Amino acid sequence: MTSPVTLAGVGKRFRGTTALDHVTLDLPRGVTGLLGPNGAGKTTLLRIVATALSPDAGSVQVLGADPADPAGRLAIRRRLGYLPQESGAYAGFTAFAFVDYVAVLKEMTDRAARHAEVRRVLEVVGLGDRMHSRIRTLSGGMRRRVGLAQALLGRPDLLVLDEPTVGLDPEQRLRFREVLTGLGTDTTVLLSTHLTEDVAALCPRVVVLDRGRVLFEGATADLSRLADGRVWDADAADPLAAVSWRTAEGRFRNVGSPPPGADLVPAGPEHGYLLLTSVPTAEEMAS
Amino acid sequence: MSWHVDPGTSAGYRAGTLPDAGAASVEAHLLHCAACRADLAGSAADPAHERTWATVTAALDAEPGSATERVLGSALPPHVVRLLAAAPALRRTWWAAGTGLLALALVAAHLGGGAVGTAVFLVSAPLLPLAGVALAYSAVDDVAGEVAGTTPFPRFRLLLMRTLAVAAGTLPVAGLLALALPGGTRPAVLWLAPALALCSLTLALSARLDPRRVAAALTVLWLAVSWTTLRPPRAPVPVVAALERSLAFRPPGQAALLCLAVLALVVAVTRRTTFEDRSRR
Repeated sequence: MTSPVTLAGVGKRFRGTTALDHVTLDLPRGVTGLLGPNGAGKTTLLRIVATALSPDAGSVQVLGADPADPAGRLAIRRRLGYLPQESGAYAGFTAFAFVDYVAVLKEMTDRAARHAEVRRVLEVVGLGDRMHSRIRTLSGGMRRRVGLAQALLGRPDLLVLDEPTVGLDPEQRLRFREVLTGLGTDTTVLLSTHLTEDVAALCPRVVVLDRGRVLFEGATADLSRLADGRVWDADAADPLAAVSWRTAEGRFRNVGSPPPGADLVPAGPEHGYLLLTSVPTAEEMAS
Repeated sequence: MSWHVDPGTSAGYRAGTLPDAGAASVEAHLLHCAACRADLAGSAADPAHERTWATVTAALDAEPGSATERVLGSALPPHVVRLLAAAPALRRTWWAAGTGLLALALVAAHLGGGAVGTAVFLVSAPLLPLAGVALAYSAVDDVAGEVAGTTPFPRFRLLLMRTLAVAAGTLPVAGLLALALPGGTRPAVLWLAPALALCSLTLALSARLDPRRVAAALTVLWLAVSWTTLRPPRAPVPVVAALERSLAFRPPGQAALLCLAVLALVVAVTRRTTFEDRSRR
């Protein structure tokens, strides 16, 4: 079975800066998390998959269609839900009117059916009681949920979500996780996040991107395994560790090459991620 | 309870074919009979009930909308109204500013003795729909932001719909004001050809360029072309004579502007897929 999203040698540059450097990926059905520091190329990758941006090099296949071809692009857009980093909701609209507007853009012309769908998605994101409030009166987290609601319109086969949990409080984040886990198994979700907890809780698969390159692609459990035996606690930050930080207990957690007899602790995806992104590139080593 | 709704009556009630009196009798019975309520509970899935419920909830969800939406709603389907009302150009503030400009020009036309004021009006009137078209649609102005560009709704169709809406909203206003101009009916129609040409050119060039930049460039170009009309004459001249000083308001210029409008529209329609590509760069 072919993957719903395939990228082969995809490159993108903006005014001399490389955003994506020959990225090759196969994204299966289910939820895939996209991790990476700021400027890693996550948003560029998501925009390319969401047909908002065309790559400079390489080929892309989304849901069996080529976004470079107008007919293919239309076919993809009919099965796509997209939450960009900036939802752009007009503050003068009510949440209902805004989602209704996007529903019209998604070719839902029957008024009664469209309104029923708008109500459904707003209920799903927990805004059933605020759907007729103007967006300017909603909190940042609620606005983010309005953005998520429009992405869920029409039960899309592919959901592309750029930092969906930004601005959400812990309770709202849990609610968001419930929403994603409630999606059918046939749905493909690609979401970017800074939060490794989101990846650990939601994503069976993860892609780590840094400086436009794929550093890791695989199961989230395998990302954790990268750091097996390489995370230890000590009373002081280890100068030889790749990364160190003080824990809530007042000790220092170190990630890297442990000294003999170190007090090893179980590794999580965040440790694997830190190991990957703290390794200097060949160019950095040379300089 | 001594009786229950018989299967035939029950089926008629489900199908909605019972006479009103029969249906009312069944409903009165249902209030007191749990068994018949349970029997008819599945009727909720009936398509007729679903439709009724959808209509009721749609009516409940119908928001009063803005004044613009209410005006548009009297003539257009609700989904078209929703698309048009989301255009910044259709907002009340823009209407007030545009109409105010024209009213000012009209006042100037009467107070200024005719020629200069009329020229100001004729030069500024085509810029009103041009500004509306430029604001009506561009990637950053759409209320849905980048989401709008990833929906299946064709950009060109959206742009064309909003262009027509802006034209339908502004041209009659400018037209009515123009009728009050001194100098007869001829000055009243001279602004129409440049307005159509400027709007069509904006539409065509927006396939590759930002509509607001296109509108700004065309505004400068139009003001340069019509400068000779705006320049105050050394001695008072009749309105028509003053307008003859600019090629844009002479018959050949007007014909050329109309040809340009048609040509630009044809180019825009034939290259409509380019609108999709521009946003993806």
